[in-house]
Amino acid sequence: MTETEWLLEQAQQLADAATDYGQRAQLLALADFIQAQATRLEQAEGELDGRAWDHERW
Amino acid sequence: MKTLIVVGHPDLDGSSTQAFLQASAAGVPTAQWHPLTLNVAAERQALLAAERIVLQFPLYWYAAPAMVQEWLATVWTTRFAQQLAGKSLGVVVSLGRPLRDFHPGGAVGVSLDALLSPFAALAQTAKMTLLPPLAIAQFAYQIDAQRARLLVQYQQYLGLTVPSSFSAQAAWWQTQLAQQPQAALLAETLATRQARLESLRATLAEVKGDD
Repeated sequence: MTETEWLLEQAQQLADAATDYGQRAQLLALADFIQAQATRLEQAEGELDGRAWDHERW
Repeated sequence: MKTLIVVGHPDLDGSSTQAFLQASAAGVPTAQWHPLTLNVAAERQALLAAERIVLQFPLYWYAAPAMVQEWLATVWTTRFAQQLAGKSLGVVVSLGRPLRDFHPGGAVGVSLDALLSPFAALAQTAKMTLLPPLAIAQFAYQIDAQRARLLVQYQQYLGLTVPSSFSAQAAWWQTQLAQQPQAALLAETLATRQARLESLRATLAEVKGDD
């Protein structure tokens, strides 16, 4: 299981257990943030890798 | 940041959208729910005390309801507007049609931005910072997940200086999750990832600077 998958699972479990609607809704919506953060991390890592492996810059 | 939510709805008690927004706003301690009145002195006092003013209404025949127009004409005179300089202005608008209708060539034929352009002019004249509008389309048809997303978007719209900033959203989540002790490990992991993201971005900025 990746860290992102673990985070999504945790958020879902906490949402399922929440008794307050506002807290539950926030935890459900947290999945969007987790995904967006994961995408940004992947893009930033990819861009850095791409630059490191660009032979024209060696 | 103190936020005043000026609610202009002709049938406030009968609106499930507004009831949902009111409950959501209750989760933002710095936001004040304020159904508009025509008590000029009290309205102006409330406006002056706020740093962000959010005008909230349903779209009726592609414009704000008449009560909002009347409120603007009565309370928000040109002279008074000068005292609002430097504040931010937000617009939360609920729609009876899907967002895809609001495009040139769509069922409405005009973009929502075009319909809301008077508020852009208002903000510009008053030297206020205009936020992109928060549009709520067909709330009655929204499923649980959409409403959860709306609650968060709305709370961030009310509470964040720049609601669209990702790092501001990350900090917002930390504040929210801190109120839920069972989410401590989740919050810590998210914070570590955010720190890694910001470090990667700083490195990228350096690398780009060397180009």
